[in-house]
Amino acid sequence: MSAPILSATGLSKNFGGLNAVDNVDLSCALDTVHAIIGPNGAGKTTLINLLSGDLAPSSGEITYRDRDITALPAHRVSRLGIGRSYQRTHIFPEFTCWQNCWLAAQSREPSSLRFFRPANAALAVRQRTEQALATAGLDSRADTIAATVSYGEQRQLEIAMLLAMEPDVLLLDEPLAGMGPEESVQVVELIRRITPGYAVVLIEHDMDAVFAVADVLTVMVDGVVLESGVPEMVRQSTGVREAYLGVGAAAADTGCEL
Amino acid sequence: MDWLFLLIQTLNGIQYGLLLFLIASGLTLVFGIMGIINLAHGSFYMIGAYLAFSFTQMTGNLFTAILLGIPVTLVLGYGVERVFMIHLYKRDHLHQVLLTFGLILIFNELQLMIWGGDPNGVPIPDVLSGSLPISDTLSYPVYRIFLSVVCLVLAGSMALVIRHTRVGMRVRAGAANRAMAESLGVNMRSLSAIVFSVGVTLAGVAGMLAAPVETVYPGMGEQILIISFVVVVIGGIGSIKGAFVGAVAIGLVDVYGQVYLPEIASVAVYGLMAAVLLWRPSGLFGRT
Amino acid sequence: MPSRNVLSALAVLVLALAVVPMIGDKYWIKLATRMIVLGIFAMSLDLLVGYTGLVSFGHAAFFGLSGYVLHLVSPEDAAANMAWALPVCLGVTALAALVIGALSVRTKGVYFIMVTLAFAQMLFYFFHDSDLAGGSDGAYIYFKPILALGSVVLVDLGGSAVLFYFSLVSLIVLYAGLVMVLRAPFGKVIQGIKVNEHRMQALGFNTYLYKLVSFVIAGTIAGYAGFLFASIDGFVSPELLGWQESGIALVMVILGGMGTLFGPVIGAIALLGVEELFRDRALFGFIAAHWQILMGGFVICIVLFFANGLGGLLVKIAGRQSEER
Repeated sequence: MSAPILSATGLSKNFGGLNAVDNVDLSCALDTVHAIIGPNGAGKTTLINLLSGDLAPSSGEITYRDRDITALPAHRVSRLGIGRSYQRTHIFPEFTCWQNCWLAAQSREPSSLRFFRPANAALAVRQRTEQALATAGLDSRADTIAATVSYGEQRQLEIAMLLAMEPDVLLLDEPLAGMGPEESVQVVELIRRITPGYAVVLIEHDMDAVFAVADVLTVMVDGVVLESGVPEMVRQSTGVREAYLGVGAAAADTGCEL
Repeated sequence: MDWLFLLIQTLNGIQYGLLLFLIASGLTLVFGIMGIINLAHGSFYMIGAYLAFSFTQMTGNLFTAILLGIPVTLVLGYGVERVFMIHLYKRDHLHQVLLTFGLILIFNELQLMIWGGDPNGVPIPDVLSGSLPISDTLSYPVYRIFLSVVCLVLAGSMALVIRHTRVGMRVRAGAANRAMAESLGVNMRSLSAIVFSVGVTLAGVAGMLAAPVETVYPGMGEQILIISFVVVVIGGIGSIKGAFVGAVAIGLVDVYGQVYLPEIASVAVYGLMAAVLLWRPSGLFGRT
Repeated sequence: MPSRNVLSALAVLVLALAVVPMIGDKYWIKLATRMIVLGIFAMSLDLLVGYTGLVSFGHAAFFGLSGYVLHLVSPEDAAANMAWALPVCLGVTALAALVIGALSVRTKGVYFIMVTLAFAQMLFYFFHDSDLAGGSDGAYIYFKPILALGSVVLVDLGGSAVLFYFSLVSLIVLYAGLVMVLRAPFGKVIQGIKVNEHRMQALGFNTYLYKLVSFVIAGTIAGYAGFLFASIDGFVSPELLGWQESGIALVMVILGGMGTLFGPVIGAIALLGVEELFRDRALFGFIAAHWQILMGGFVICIVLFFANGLGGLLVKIAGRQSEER
């Protein structure tokens, strides 16, 4: 595996007395998907919030391309090349899909204090917009108001917006949440397709999806990393089976087996 | 004499601040509980002052006038809430601002029709008309002390009601989370009506109490409204404690400003607001 | 960008206004000029309220301030030359908008409303209480501004028809300019901020900067309107910066339809028209003397029953506009 471009060491975040994230080490390399699983309340989203700069860690260090980004605010982190999607859909519902992506593409320009030429006149931004829509499979929806496309397409749009920002790290927070099986398959396919060229950190509950795309798997429980490694190895770990499923081997029959 | 003079000014500042608190607390409560920004709040202060003026003329006694005025403002507040505010709960601030702006236009014109445009004065009741001598040359009017004491008593009882009664508990629940309070069985509709009419009455009482020390004139509502906004911005919206601290701070800055820096006195309070905004954009006790 | 149908309706409106000086007397010309100038003022406020999501209740501060600057720079015995007087007025207004905006834009929602109102009142009391420019009585601009090149007078705003056409052309140019700005990247960004500021920050936009720039642009255009307004009667008073003026501008925006740019202009025309009606003794008898009551009731009715405004109605009638990229 190539060298990690994003890594965290000893990362902790406590809210009051609660250690939401406790001394977590994590790294992610280009062309790989690093999936994080764990029960609700394990601290997965908090971890993403720390990596994206939305929350400041209580202790620990985050390095991106050999640069310490621990204390940077979200918009600076985003500009460096770390893009994130949100668990709840986070688009501009009254704009068209094209306009949504355009805003994301434009955000990479050094300044938007441009008052005279129409927004769609800048070639580079337009190309980024269109390419992102195409990659996410939304070209046919370009001129549709985002609020009116299907839920699955809204999640795809969110990923398209992420791509339009030309990051190299994608932090995906439950991209399949609330989707039907067919839509899920589409988005899993999309993640698999875009992974080359990106370092992807994926939080997901859907185990089929996780095993379909993950190159590295980390299991978190109560804010700490229980196990981390290639999916096959993690799958064999009895500690994970017990802690994550809570009831030992008996849970193998419940349908949510690892 | 210097420090005695300073003492008197400090007392004046605190007295003005306490008066401001009565008005600003209504404003901040109405926002906290109902999510409504009410521009017409200053009009109720003005109406209170004019009621004190008319009732004092009729009965010859400010205390009777206040006793007569309180039910009038209570009913007025209840009526305004039922007829107008009730439409505003789910609307955005822009609509709230405009509707209450329309109310001000109506109240102001009604005031002109009923009382005319000349400034009026209200006599201080005889029992309180004296002055306490502080030194050979300086003294402090008894009415202003009375005014401060009444404001303090009102502020204290408000704090007690909010902290220790069932209604107060509902008020706190409503301010923290309207939807949650509603699902727990708090009747937000009637609570809103109560809070609004009490807020209106507080502003009205402030106007009645202020009538003998301030001139009763047509624009007094707006003037006090703007200052109350400054108080609320400084204290943090929705916070009673903030309104108290902000009101006393503004009262002191205003009075000291007029004494020591008369050229910039009218701008001084806004300077204080600007400074607080630079430091804490959501006020001293505001939620961020 | 409004649809073709809306544009034709607007063209008809402009033409209808343009004939006023040919058929009306001085009273009507002045009224039509006020409509246009307040239209510019309301349009500038729409940039904040309807496109940036900033509900300012102190927009008249810049409107009035510019008028006062015109008074201060106008000589008592001659007309000021617009060639330098206008830039001075706009420069001072822009600077004031920058300072007030830098503080106000830090706040959100209801705080922003209260803070802009408070700062506007600060300027109101400044002119009301100081003897810099006549205090509460207001002050005159004895000679209205001219545009002169050497000794040749090109435009003399002292002529009521000249001022009218100058204002009308200004309105059209500013409207076109704002449409252009709103289609440019800057315009798209502020509209994104209106929809979801937090998301724009997550995309990496420094939203404070864009909101501040929008505030300064809107304030400066309001200053331009104030410059023209002070030239109508050659008189400025503190009321020009008062909160009533700010409130009326917001009513115009809502009445006309916010977020349409042309709507607030229609709102200004309609509101002044309604005011003329309310003041008519033949129609309203004794209450015409207290027309503010009618105006208050009118404002309340608009909020309760007509919150989408005339502009929204026009857009609906003209058919759904095609979604522009």
